[in-house]
Amino acid sequence: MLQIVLLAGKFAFLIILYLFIYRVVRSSTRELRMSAPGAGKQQWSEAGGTLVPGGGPAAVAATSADSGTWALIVEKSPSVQAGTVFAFPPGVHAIAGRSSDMDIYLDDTFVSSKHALFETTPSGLQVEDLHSTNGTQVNGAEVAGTRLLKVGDRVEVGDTIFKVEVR
Amino acid sequence: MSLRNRELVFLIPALILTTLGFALVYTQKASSLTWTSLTYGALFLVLFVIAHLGRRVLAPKADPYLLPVTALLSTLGLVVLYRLNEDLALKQAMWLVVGLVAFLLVLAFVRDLEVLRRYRYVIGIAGLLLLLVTAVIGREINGARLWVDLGPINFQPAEFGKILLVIFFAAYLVDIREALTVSTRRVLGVPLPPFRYLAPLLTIWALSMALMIFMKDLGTSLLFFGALLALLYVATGRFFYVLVGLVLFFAGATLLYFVFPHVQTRVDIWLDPWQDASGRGYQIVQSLFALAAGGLFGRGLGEGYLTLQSGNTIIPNLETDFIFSAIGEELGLVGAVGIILLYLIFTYRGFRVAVRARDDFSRLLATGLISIFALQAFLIMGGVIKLIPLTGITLPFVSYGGSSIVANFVLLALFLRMSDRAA
Repeated sequence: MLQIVLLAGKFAFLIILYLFIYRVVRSSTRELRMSAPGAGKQQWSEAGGTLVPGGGPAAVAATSADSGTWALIVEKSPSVQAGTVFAFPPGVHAIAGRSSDMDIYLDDTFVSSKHALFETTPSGLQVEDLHSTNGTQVNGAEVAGTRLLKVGDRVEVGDTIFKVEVR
Repeated sequence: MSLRNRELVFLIPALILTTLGFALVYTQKASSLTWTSLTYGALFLVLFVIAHLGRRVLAPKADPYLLPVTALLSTLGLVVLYRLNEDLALKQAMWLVVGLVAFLLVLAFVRDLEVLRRYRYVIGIAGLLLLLVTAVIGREINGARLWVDLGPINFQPAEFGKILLVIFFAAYLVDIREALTVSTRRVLGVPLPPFRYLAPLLTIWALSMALMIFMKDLGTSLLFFGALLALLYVATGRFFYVLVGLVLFFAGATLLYFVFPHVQTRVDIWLDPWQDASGRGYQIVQSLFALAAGGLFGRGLGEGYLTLQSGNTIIPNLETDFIFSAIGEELGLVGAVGIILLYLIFTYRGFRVAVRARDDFSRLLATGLISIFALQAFLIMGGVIKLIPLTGITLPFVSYGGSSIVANFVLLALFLRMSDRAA
């Protein structure tokens, strides 16, 4: 009787040990996939190579129907792949920052956790610096408060440069 | 499962394993089934839940996997010690409590790693003194001068010295990394940074190496060497330093082999322990027997042939350096590989902390500390299975040893602090 209990215990021990290892590895790799740069909690979903906020079909429809959608194209960035497009259909706003729950997540030492707010207004796309440590620059000039963006403007947030376009 | 509760969720299976382990050993010893062992499981559950709650308050966004893996390794070590010698297990359990207190104190007082960077020279000198102190007032045990007698406690200062020196190296390299990468002159076509930047680094390194050699602590000097190389590589991104380091290492090792008889012994018994199986090779030969007896699934906890009638272990230093052989005999190849996987998980999480670190100092500190940790686990496990020459160091968190377990909990606290900032 005792021998059987000990034998069962021996195998139970090894099985639980490996279950523990399996669970830790699985949970840890899943987290790895979630926190990959450019993905994560960003609520932008991919629609024909363009990232659209919200991700629902309505948002996608809005971009494809309206030819004049403001967009930020990543020119250069240590954390987001160059060429990534963030589209701003009317009525959309997005905050860029180093905190992983930001709409535009920039994993970069020179970016504040909540760095800059991009917002569509009736007169166009506008950027507001959220009192970041290193500031937000448009074409090299510091943004004080808010500033309306023109097509071709270059917005710098830390080491990331966005180009403003209408597409 | 939320990130917040993940740590707690993983702590539970870790402690179920501990309870099961204690139950098996106890049942085997008493030849009857009792519930006594459950109290041990409950005790450690309480201890680690306190650590978890403290971590939750002090470092809310810290890595959720490091603490459960540590809990499993340290309590598994306790199970094996309990099986070998109940008095040792009791002492180790007390050290575990001291370690957890140190863990919480470091988390509470080191809120910002900048403090460590600011006091880098004080820390560097303190680290050096901790190594030096054994040369002056040290006690020699098993041929190595590693211990300092502090009344009832035998304290092993090198365990803490190595953490302090890694902090110093990391902070110092942040200061001089520019100078190291932008070299101004070339010697024999090789870019060399200005000597004044290298001098303090070389001095500290040479001094610690010399100390280690004269105190016959090969393991710790190897750890320093490996950690310093990893740090130099991460700080500069130049493979050249690694190459120079490896050349220096092999040159030094060859020299040591011919100069010091104890180094020669280590290599000889590694190449062929059977030439003197009852003498110099005894320890390693017995370790190989134990591993072979374990087979695939092991003899079962408490059922290995590890101790003599007198209570002494068959393999000398089984409770410290050779604890991996005991695990191999009782849990088999499968269990031993499980332990290696736990170290791999810890190492992977540690490097992840380094990769995600926000500033250069944390990145280098995490790299240095995890290199020491991983190398230590590799060197001792590799040593007891005769993969590499044996160097007497502890298996982190598992081996018996108060200084070792407390120092490793300090290391864990530093990792959780760094991962909290990086989250």
